[in-house]
Amino acid sequence: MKMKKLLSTGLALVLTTAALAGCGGTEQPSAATNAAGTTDTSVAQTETSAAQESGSEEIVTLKWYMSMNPVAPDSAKIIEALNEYTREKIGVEIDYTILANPDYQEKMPTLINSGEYFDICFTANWTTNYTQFAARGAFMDITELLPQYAKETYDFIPQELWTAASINGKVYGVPSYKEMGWQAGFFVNSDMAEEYGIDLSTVKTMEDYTQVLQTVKEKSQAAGQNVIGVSGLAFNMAVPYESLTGTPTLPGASAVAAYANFEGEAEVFNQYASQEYMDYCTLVRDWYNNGYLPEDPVNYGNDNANRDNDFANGRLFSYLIQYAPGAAESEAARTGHGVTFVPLMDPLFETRNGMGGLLAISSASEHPDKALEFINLLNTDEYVGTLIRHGIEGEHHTAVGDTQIDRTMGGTLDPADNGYDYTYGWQFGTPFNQKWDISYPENIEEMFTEYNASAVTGPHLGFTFDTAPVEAEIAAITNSVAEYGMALEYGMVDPAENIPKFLQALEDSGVQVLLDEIQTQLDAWGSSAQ
Amino acid sequence: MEKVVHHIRKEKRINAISVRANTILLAFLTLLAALCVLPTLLVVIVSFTSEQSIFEKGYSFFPSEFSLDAYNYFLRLGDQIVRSYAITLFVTVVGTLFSLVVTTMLAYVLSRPDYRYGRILMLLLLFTMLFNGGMVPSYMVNTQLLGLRDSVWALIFPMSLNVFYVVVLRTFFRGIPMEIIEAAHIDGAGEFYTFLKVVLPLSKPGVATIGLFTVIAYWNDWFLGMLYIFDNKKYPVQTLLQSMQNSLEALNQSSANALEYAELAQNAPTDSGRMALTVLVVVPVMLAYPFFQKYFVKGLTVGGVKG
Amino acid sequence: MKTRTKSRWFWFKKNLPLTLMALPGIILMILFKYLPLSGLILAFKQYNVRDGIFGSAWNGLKNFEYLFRTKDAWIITRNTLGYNLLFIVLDLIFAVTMAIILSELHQKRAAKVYQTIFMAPYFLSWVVVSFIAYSLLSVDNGFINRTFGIHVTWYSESSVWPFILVIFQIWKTVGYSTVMYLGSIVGIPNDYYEAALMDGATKWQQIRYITLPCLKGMMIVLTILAIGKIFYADFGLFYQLPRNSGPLFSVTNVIDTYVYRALKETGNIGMASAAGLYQSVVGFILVLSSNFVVRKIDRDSALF
Repeated sequence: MKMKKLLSTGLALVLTTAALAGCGGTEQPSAATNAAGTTDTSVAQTETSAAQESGSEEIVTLKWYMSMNPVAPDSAKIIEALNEYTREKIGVEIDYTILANPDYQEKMPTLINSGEYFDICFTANWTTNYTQFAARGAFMDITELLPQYAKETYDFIPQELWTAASINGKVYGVPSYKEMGWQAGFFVNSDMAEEYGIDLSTVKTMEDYTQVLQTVKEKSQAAGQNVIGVSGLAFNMAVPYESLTGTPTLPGASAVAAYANFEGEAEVFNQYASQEYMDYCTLVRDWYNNGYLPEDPVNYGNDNANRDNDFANGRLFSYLIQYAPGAAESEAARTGHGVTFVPLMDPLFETRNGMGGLLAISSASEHPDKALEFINLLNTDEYVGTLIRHGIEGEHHTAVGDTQIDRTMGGTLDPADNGYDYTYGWQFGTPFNQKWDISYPENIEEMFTEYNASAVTGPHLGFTFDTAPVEAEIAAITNSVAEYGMALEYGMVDPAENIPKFLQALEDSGVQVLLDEIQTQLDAWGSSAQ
Repeated sequence: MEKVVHHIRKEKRINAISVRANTILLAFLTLLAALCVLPTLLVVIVSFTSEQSIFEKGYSFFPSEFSLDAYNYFLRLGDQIVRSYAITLFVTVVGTLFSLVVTTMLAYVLSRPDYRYGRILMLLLLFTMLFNGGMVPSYMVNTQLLGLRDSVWALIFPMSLNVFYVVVLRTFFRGIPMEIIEAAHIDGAGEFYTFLKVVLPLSKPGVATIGLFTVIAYWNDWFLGMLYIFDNKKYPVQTLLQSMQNSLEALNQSSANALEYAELAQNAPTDSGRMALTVLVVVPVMLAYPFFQKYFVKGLTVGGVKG
Repeated sequence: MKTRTKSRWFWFKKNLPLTLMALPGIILMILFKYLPLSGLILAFKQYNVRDGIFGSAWNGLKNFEYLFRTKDAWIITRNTLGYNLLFIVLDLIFAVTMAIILSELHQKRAAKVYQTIFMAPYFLSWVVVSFIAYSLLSVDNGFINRTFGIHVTWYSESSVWPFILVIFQIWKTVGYSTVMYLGSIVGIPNDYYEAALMDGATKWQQIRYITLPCLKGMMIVLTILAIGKIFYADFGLFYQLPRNSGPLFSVTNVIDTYVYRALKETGNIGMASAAGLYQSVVGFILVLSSNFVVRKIDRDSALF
């Protein structure tokens, strides 16, 4: 009796375990096919096998991971249409996985680190860290392959952009060619400025802005409101310098002659120890004490939504921002009031601006040649460029003339119902070889050209700092900057008392080691570049 | 039988704390309950508050204007949100059952002082509770070895064994006197039978507690979905909502220039949206909690009585 | 020798039914806990994607350096340990007290309701809690400043934050622990109390001599487990709640927030592993020693 019970118990357990193992086992093949030919593109899958069965032309399937916000519902349909075209043109089919930007940022680093196979992926200095992964061997060096397989793109993109995107002279990804540089300034509620009789044309510097802020405060209080003058303040935007580390908040700056600041500083210097930093902090401390700034900058620190709300609602007069052509018009449309951009500087083009968005090829890719040919199409083929941004003509947009499209299809399609619409879509590659949506000014490409022409080039363009030797110092310094930097730059604390503390903390964190390492690498770079 | 129960009840009443003490404690508990309920209530109210009212009055229990805007934002997801809830429900139910079966059996074995390999097994388990290899190796095991990518099992298996629950449950099981188990053995019951018909019914409160925690853990998890599910049609509801919330915060991190920023920000959920998101996540599980407690315990009792 | 193998086989056979019951758990443990442990060696490697975990070059203790680089090392260690110790003690006291009170309540139904209500904060994410906290603590619009007519910039007053953090932590987690103790109390056989009553024991004496001793096992287990996690801080509590406000760092920076900020830029998984290993080793040593002490005093209460 006892034996029998025991046996049956054992049997039950073995069965359970077997069932468990079965779950894992049966799941495996289906998941494996999933991994091979992804999810929503069942069509691509059958087509692949069809192509393979016919055994003819080596149609190559490329695994492409893309980051884009938001994921358009009709993505699979577009890729189907795209595949039809690319199969003919270059013998390539795309196995596409598109993820919303934040999801991509969560998933992709782990996927790359785990060594999973892919051919093409989106990368940048703000998602799936381009320089880090290049250094870790994840991406392929395509310097040699570029002129061979993507000649048109290679020629079309200005040389300075290639220089900026390269690491130690080697290119690991095809950068998106759009505006080249960054330009800081204030976005101002121009309706309010007019109401208060403020003349913005006189504002050229931060100091000039004090007068504006005072007027805003006085007039708004007289009107019984309490409008906040400005938010989003940051030293690295207010006082431009070239960031040698690629991270503007890390110490390691170099002066740019055109801005006539940081005079007398060494080639590599700690911007937080400069007179400019003291002056800036003193100025914003005054602003803070005079009530021109939000009292709780933490409210804006972590969350742009509050700032955007307040700006749209007229509770916030202005904020500091990095500008791009056409942005003021977009912001005006969003907020429903006039928006003027008041620049504080001419655009600056430095290394990190070449890394705002790139398509990289995995170092394990079996078809780098085909991958490059495909990236070439994305950047130079008007049909592909338009298809991937605006979808299928007649379904997601209508053509307007030869150079424009209308995503509302003549007002018949609500943008919210449009199944595929990435208007500007620069993450796919340069937006210059596509048809623009009619909501953009007709001369939008000229605006970009103008902007790029006005840009000042950083003195060390193309220098990419290798953080590996000083990662411990950078880790500690990042914490020190987080502790003191924001509070000082928002005017929350007294600079006379806190800047010395800040500098001491940086000293303890090894700022000198960092600066020395930058100088060493800079010297090596300089001698090799010449 | 009736009489005995009645007798015990009466006895218990005699043994209770005084009415005065009870009143004082009740008042004290009510105060604490208010501290727990009010913020939660505030979240619910803010989720129904119009942006204009938040702008004027801040978070308030008595907003000047109610609005469903925040929920409309999520309603736009259409059937996706229904699908996601269904996936989460499946994962929670199947995951909890599976996890409970494994956890209770393991915990029971560990609770037996006469189990020869108990100490070493316990040590091995505790070791994994303290040490972990990090995300990348787990990812390799789950995708490359087990092929769990884009599979609903990726949301179930990796978190089905929680050492903390095993240890807590083992403590509950330890409360059962060894003599009862030995008596069952003498009656000819096998180990599994003893466990199922004697031990489990005696540990209802413990199993119910851990069952509840497991439900909450599965219901709340968004990370596995974020890591292993690439097709956003297969997202569980937590991952879906987390992803929407992240898209708001990611705006700051991206070098996204002002041009696209304006476009993205247009649709971003704001304060009330964030609270609505919490309501969508939390309220179902909080409402389910009392029912769950009731039926779960009842289910265990039924299982025990039949034997 | 022969007898020894025989006896080992004998024990194995005798324990087989129990071993089989544990087997599904053991399999899950191997698959999902032990296989990924190979990642621990990443802490000593300069990771290269193509070379993989085992093929990457060793780099000694370099990945650990940043944890001990500066004065911050002392602050984050002090904060992590200090807060966690406080949380362990307070959580124990509050949860046990609440569990006993709830179990003694006349109205059993009300007790259920209260128990559910105390769980409520546990369900709110720290992000949401941080928004509620902001609505209390904001300078111009905050509930506290408005109600008391004061003008305090709470997010730069580092002296009050230890209290704020403790209050919110207890508020959020005590309900959860209470449930566990309540589960233990419900499981205490009624005859114990009846016997005590016949001996004329008062309520206090019953709690002192029956309830608490019966809870001892659970208290010890939960405490030892919490000690194992003493070097891990709740990221949301220390990062979201103070809204990453710099002036508060001296009292809010803990190991997890330090590591998060440190690696946000570089994403170095070797350094992340190093931090995890450091936290684990300290936790492991503390668990082993506290278990050793418990074992010395009361063998049955020890974990292993």
